[in-house]
Amino acid sequence: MDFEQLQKAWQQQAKPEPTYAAPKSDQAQILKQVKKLRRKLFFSNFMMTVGVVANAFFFHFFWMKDFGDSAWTKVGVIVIFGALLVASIGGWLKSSPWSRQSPSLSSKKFVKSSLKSFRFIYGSLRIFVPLYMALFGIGLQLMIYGAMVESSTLHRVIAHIGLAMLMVFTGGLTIYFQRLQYQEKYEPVVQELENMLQELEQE
Amino acid sequence: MLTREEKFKQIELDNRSRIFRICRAYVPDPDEANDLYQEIMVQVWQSLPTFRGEAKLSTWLYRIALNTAIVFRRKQQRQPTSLTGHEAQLADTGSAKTEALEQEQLLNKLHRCIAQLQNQERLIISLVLEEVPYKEIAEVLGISTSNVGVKINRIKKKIGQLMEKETAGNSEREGGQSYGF
Repeated sequence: MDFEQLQKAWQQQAKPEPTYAAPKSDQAQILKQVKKLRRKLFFSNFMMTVGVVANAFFFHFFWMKDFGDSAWTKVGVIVIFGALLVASIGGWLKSSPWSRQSPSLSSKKFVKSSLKSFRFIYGSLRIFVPLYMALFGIGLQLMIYGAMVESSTLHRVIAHIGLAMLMVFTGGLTIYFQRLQYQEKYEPVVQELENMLQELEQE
Repeated sequence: MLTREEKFKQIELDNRSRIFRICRAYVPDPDEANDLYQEIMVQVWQSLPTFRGEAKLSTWLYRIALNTAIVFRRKQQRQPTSLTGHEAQLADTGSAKTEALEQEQLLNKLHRCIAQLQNQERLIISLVLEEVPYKEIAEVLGISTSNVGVKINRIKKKIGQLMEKETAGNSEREGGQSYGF
């Protein structure tokens, strides 16, 4: 007897029909996850707005005087706050429901709106967050430039390079971990919602 | 575009026999193998949204089967495995053709031999019996192809020896077949 014969016998062995029933997805669990992620999204939008307001307050009343009264510093502040404002308003507009919704996975409106919010996160991680960080970095560079107008060239070069390296490093890390978090937490829920939307549209 | 349920049904239908045979290699008892099969399918259903097609579908399935089987075996370790279900099935086929009966006996023997192997060896031999390419087995196990080749040769040799032992034990009834892989 050789191995090929054994292989043949193995592949031809009796096939008892497995008594398998396709499991239904646990809708309650998915709904719980969707609600949790939407709450998280709301909270991060809220925190972003608080950040903008708090920064504006501290800049206006305390920090601006440390940076001097240079025009470059003012341009830098405008760039930073422009980026912060656009990011904050964009977050609210794109990821928040603007009409009354019943939180149910059998509601096409709710599923669609949740999908829109979560997909926005994906889009923003690819385009808006890097752009926003670049703008933030440029704004800070302009502020440093304005604040160090009277310093030596060497000090200015060191400050700019140091800041650029710090921004690239922290920005890179932030984007990397945010994408990781998206893959881990949002992506499975997005897949579930896409399947549900497909089923709802077929009905 | 297929829905998740349609995709799942398609995968289950296309791979039912193969996965079930792998389950049998892991747990010789048909009822327990069926339980393991159910668990694998539940895992497949749960993992389906995260399958991005980076690996071959079969590789992905084998990986799920392997991981589920390891956990399943751990749970079952305290319970002795038996072939009673299979043998009872065999006894019922008294009216079947002699050839089919011989095939059943051969399979029974093979299952007993596989049951004596280690966990990883069981998976490897079941994949070899399914004629899965070495490269894919290497991907499932996360080892090199050459290492898979070495392991397969070793397992084949072991199976040959075990089959001979089994035959020697029943030499009068079996007629003393020899196995040279």
